[in-house]
Amino acid sequence: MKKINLTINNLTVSVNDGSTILDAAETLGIAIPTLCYVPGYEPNATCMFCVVHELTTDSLILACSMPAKEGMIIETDTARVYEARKDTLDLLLSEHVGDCEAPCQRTCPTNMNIPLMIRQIKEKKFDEVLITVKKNIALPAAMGRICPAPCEKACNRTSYDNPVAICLLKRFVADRDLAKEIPYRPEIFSKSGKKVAVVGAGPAGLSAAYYLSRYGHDCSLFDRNKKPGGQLQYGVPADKLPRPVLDAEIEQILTLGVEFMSEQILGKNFSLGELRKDHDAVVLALGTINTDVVIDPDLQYSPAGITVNRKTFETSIPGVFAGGNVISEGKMAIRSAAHGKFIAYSVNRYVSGLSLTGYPQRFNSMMGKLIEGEDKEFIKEAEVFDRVEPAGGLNAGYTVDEAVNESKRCFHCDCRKPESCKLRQYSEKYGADRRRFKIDRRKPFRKIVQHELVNFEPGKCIHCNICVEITKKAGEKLGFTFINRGFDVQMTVPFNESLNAGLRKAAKECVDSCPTAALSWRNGEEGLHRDTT
Amino acid sequence: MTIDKENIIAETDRIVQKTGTAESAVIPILHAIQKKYNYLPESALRRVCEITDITPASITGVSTFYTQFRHTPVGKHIIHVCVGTACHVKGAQLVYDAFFRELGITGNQDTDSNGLFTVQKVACLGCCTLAPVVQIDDVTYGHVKTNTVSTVLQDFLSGRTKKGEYRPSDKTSSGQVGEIRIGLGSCCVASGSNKVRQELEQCLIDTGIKTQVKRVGCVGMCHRTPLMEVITPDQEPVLYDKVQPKDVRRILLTHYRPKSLTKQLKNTAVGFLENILENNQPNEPIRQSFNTRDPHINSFLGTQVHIATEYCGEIDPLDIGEYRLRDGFRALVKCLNEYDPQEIIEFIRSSGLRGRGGAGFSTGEKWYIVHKSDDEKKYLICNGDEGDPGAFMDRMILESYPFRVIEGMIIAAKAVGAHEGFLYIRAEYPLAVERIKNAISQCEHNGLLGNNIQDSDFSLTLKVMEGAGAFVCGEETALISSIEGHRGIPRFRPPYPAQKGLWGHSTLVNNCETYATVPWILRNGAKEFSQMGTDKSKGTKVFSLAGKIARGGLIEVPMGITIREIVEEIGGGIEYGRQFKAVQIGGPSGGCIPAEMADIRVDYEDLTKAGAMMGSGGLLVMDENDCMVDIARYFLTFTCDQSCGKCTFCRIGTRYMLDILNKICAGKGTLTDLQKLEEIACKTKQRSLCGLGKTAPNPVLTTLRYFREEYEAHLKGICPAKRCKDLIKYSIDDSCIGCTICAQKCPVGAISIMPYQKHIIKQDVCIKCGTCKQVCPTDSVVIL
Repeated sequence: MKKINLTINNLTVSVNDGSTILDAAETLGIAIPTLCYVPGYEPNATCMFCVVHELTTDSLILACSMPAKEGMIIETDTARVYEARKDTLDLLLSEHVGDCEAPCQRTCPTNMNIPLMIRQIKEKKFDEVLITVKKNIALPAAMGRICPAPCEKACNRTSYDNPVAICLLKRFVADRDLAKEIPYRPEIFSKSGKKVAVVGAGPAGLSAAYYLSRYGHDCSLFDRNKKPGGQLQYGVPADKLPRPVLDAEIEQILTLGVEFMSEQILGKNFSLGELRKDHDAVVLALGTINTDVVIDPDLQYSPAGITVNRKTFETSIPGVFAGGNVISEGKMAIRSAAHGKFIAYSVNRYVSGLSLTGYPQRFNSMMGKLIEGEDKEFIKEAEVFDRVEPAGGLNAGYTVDEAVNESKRCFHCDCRKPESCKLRQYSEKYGADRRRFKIDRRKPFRKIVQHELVNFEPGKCIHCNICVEITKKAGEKLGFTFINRGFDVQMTVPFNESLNAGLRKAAKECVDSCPTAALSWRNGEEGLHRDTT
Repeated sequence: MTIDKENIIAETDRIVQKTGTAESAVIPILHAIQKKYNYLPESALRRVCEITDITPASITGVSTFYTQFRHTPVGKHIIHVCVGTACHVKGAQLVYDAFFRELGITGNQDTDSNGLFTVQKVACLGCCTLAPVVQIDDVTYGHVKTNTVSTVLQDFLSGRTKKGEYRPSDKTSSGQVGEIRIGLGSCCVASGSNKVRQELEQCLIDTGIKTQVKRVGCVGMCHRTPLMEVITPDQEPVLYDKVQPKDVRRILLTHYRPKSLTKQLKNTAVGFLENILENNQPNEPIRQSFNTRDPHINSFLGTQVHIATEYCGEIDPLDIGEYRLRDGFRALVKCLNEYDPQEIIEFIRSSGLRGRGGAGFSTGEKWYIVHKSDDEKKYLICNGDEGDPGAFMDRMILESYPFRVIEGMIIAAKAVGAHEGFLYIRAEYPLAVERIKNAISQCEHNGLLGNNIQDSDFSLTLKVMEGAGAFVCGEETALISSIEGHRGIPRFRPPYPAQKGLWGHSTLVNNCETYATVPWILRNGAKEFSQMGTDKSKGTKVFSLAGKIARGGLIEVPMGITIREIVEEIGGGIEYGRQFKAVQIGGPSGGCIPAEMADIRVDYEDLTKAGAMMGSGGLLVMDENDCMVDIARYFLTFTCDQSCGKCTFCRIGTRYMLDILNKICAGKGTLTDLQKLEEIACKTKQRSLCGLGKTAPNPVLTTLRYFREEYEAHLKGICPAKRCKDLIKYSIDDSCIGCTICAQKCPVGAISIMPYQKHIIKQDVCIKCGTCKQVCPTDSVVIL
């Protein structure tokens, strides 16, 4: 067979006549990202994502479809290629109707995976659910009592009746754990031998100490008061937050090996300089401070508080981090708790000698507020009854049955493929901007739940044609087809038949090959959740 | 209306028996079902899947792709309001709205409550010189205005205007003197030439005058239709324009004497009585007549060179004998007997002929690629899917010169070695389909198609495939998908159709104008052809000239002619003496060239350099009253609607551009919007998969380039041309005489009747339909 010689990223390769650029790159081990291409099928050439730069013609070409030609010189990773791929993603995202993360999770300062928590409650996976909660919130029992719950304000269920009682559910999970003889103890990374001083044992400090300990660092927690807890201990009324609950929860943090040093005042009992000398890093979680008092001449302030890099929480002194009310006045304890978590992430990188990046921000497609009628799409997967009130009153919290019932009200607005969705993966990698080509009125959200295992969300379809080809090849009697054209083109089962009828044979291949979550398993991919801690 | 299911199944079975059960039969089957039921009943579609190779996925996908197909029952009659470019600039949208008001259709409905009429938009009926045009079932009405909508409906319901069936013309027999030619192109038919012909035939019987009545194809002077030309041996030919049936008798009697004395007397008497009744001067010319030396005609026809449209207005489209007499099939016979394929290709290559469909690829080169392909099976396709709104060249060529197109195709087939060919023609052109089918069958009977053509060893069969309403099918790979029975989705190239086309075989795709040019080149020589034109663009090009022009029509001009010559000399300048502002050339793929640049030559490269493109040859002239932002929006609305939806850039990019243009036209645009518009236009142009997407931004980019100040004015809430509805208001000035006509005609009661007083338009009620301005006798309605 005739051979074609070409160059890709300065490497020469010889391939059979008829090979595509993608094939040729693959033989060199060069990965070119694709969305609408699946091995074993003819290229679809629909998404226009897999472009590469051909230098002899100075043009961008589609790697999946373009046959390799003698003498081609290809670059796959230049700035121009990146920009072109990003253009494609930006356009695809502009018509993408769906949220990667549910509004509740995005609104929660700690970014706790609330829909997952609720599904685990629904399935009565009470051990797993605490892991989900504690991954982001160190003091869930306390927060479950005092949090103003911004998550509930964002809850899409509000457009139907009342928001899901997220805060009560979280408290239910935490209380249930604390009531156990041996409460949950997270897995701890092997000891690093690094020492970190945390000054201030309020929500931010406790949270930082908790996650630093999980990373395997030795934490010393200093506080001016006798007991840890800060405002939670000395500010919040006891009827709102019973102290035995708080103490029990703090105890769970201290048992990880955190050394609590009570009645220690920075500037009086010890100086920042001394702390720095004895520790690999210092965390200042002092709460509201008087900015006239100089802690250290090198520490920069603004009228709001200590100045930090808002991404990394590092102060003007390397190795010194600050968060919570000491950097700016805030009313929500959960915000301070979130700072503690982010600081722990930065400190861990700092003491490990890594560059500071800030807590990883996931890419999120957001469809915004529900438009009229969309609650009807979501209610397909939820019970219709209104919010469950605890029979024993708010102080008593939910019983198991109540919690399980309430959990059934969740709309599950989050994506079923938050990790395996190629559109999200590449959007993250290429820094895609979903607002760049935003169209005034988005298409309505739809969710088709007729199949026993598969969900179909047309708004997430990128019209790649993969499932149409798969069902055709599999000999599905109905399969999938496109209807209409242009911007109104839609993937559907012929004759408006049900999804079940369309997917008799090829459901698995379709779901697995779908580059987005247009087709997904109803039960999601929960095992795959990436651990960012 | 309920149709019982068994009946549907039996009917579907009958249809499939005729069309066959192949996958590729899906579009013909859908056409046939819809013809029967006026829509596509689901039970019929399901039945098709049971008895053919067509899958549910295929029939669902195809029947929702093409706009001709309907899935819900419609009214008894369908009103198609043409929204082609020429109609658009002459207010088609207002006419469309007026039909809804007149029929009381509201909300998302498109059918009136009695189920009598369904109102739909149609991309282009190709009768651009009669704009705005409306077609009700088979009857076409031209020059429709918002205030004549009710008259049109009444006329239709009265049944006065009927679609004339096409009767073959009588052969010349002894005793006939001269001939009378009647134009029967679609424009002529739309403006009533069938009625004129019927009247003429009746008059000939009444008077006993013997002459030959001859239908001829398009004369090109569509602005003056219906046309009737009288040719007598001893006189100069006389051409009558805008002929009405009532004029026919007089025209006839001006040139001929009735045979018998009694008939002479009777005719005199009738003429006398008519004169009294109509209070006309007896000897006044009835219709404006002019002989072909008339200076207007001279300048309209003078600079034209007829190659594809050779013998325009002279030959009967379907008279194979006459075609032969006029050099028809001479080129073919030469090719069959004297030339081998390489020689034919060399002829075409050296003539410099380039594809007339838009892209301008060398025709000889394309033929050579197919010729040298070692594919055992090769196909030949004639692209007659002229979807550009504002273009009607293909329609005219197919309607008027069907034999010439076929001759060109046979020659091409021999050159490339294809034995099977298709003519893909828009379903919106029923007359073209009918004539081509008729011409094919005549060719078959005369041994010009089929096995061993003219006793040579070359064989070719031709089939007609009707489109179903998809502009993108003009793109060659989409066209091929459509013939194969799929959604009209373009494919990635390479491979090009010449390498791997229809059903995977090497396929030659040329536009019908290209084929129609071929016989002339072979008869007159490549040199003769290449002498015309510019360095790289040879020969002639057919344009449909429409818009705000005094003399619109179908013209064929040598390449290299300037736009200004076309507009001012052939077209007679702008109508009503208004200011020439721009030409839009190449339709939705082309661009707007401002009047200052009108000295640009008709040349593939020059036009592309200016941001426009030859396209298939729509040439729309615009005057000072045309808003360039609105024109850009108009074309984007079209391409957005016609995008197949396959590739990301075209599907979303065109939509995003349209979104911004809508905002700008509503006066809500910002400077950022303008930047984003330009950005996405460039990206869509560079990155779309097929020609539709790659050229869709051209109308936007050229208007931004040449008329940026108009965009900027819109950002400030001003539409300089006073076109954009959201930025204008109607008002009545002091010259109002209080005649109350506007108040009576206003469809929404925005003007109160105040006899002898200055009328006032209530701005909160006014829908800006323009009716008051049309009816005002003193021109007192002004747009602010």
